[in-house]
Formats: sequence, C-alpha cells, structure tokens
Amino acid sequence: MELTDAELISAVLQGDTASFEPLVARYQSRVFATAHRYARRESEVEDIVQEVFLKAFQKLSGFRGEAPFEHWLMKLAVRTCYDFLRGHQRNRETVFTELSEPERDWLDRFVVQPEQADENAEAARQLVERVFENLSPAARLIITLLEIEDRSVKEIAQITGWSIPLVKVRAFRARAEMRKILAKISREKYL
Amino acid sequence: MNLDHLRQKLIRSARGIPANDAVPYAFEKRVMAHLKTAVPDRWFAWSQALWKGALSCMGIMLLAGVWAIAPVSQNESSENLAQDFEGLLFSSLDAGLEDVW
Repeated sequence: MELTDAELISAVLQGDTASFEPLVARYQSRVFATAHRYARRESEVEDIVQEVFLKAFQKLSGFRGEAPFEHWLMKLAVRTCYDFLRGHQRNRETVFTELSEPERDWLDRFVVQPEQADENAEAARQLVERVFENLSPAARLIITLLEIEDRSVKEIAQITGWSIPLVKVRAFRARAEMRKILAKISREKYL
Repeated sequence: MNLDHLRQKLIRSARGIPANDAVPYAFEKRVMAHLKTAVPDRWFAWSQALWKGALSCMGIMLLAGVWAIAPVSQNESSENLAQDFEGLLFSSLDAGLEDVW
C-alpha cells in the first residue's frame, strides 16, 4: 500500500531519509513543469529542481501540515525559480535585427493583419520566449503566475510572500515593461 | 502597431505552450544521492570538532610556552616602553618649565 505524504514526512522527520525518495518521485514532474517556465536550458532546469528538493528536505521540519504538502512544495519551487531569475539576470535588450526570420515574418503578418497572425505558431512562441527573457525577474514571475498560470492576486501574494498591493503594483509595472520591450523590438521597423 | 494587442496575443501564445513536465530517468536517485552527501555524518562532525579543539589547545600551549620561556625580555621591553612614555610625557613639561624660569 502506498504511504501518504503525511506518513512519509513523519518518517523523514524521525530520521528515515530514504522515505523522502517517494515524495520526490511523486512531485518531481510538477516541479519540472514549473522550472521549465523560468529556465530554458535543461541543465538549469535540473539544477533548479534539485535545489527545490534539497531545500524541501532541509526545511521539512518547518512544514506544519496545515496546507497540503504539494502547495508548500510548489511555493518553495516558485521562490527557488525567482532566486534563479535574479541570479541569472541579463542586462540585454533585444532589437528587431536580432529576431529570427520566422519571428520577423510573424511580426510582419501581425502588422498587416493582426487577426491573421496565428498565436499558436512556433514563431510566436519563440518571440514570447525572447520577450520573457528580457523582462526583469519580478515582472517575469508575475506575468507567468498571473497571466499564464491564471492565478489570483491573493494566491500570488501567498506564493511570493509579497503583500496584495505590492502584487498589484508589480503586475501593472510588469505589463508596462512588456509593452516597452515590444516597442523596442518593433521600433526599428514599424515606428 | 497596437502594442497592447500584440502583448495580449503573445500572452495567449505563451498560454498555448504545453507545460513540459518531462523528468530525466532516475532523477529521484540523483536527488537522494545529493541528500546523502548533504546530510552530515554525526561521528564525522564530532571527530571534526574534536580535531579543531585539539589544534586550538596546541596553539594555546605553544603561546604559553613561548611566554614562559622569555619572561625577562618581555619585562625589559615593557620597562623600556614605560620609561620612553614617561620621558615623552615630561619632555614637554620640561620645555615649558625652562621657558618660565
């Protein structure tokens, strides 16, 4: 019979380190999915996930069991991803000339007929990745949580530890930042 | 170009990207291997603390030995220092007194 999270956690806290392995196996795919949203290279994603589980093990005595273990772990995962973004912050700005041929074509199509530019096209996905890489860590985190994962402001406040007004302010700034990046990318050719 | 429209379109595009939850083979084994190296062995930690204590004790013993072997020279130097300090202090007074007289 499969042991519950609470039983495994209790065993780990009593010194049975091996009981942590089923917990890792149970939740690693979810943590990988989260890490993939913030890091591109596979080696970086693996390092993030590993760090999440090492932190979880070290802080397990702080888990009070009021919320499901998964929620606690995902909060830890998001915070680790945010630390990763802050540690790998790049001060570079993408300009139109750096865009790939399909990305430029997609933008051209958007300018001529906005409704005809297919948002599911690979070029659109590449472009959005490029824009996200140019965002500041806080902006990227908030746009991912709020607009891509569709989480509420209250949930984001709980995950990040920021106050609700701060989340709102950062969301406003993040949208403005994204608009600014898009303006910079397209200024050369269209404006 | 309508930047807000473009932003929204790109966000919709990002939403359409399926979450990549692929896990490398035996990743949990890798995490557990790291955990085992991260969890310190109690006996190892105890022996390390003992070695550190022994080394500091030896250092103190050596310093005490040096201090015990050379007490005279230490006293001499301290006496000289006291004399020098006294001379320096009174030299200004002496100079002042000479002016007065």
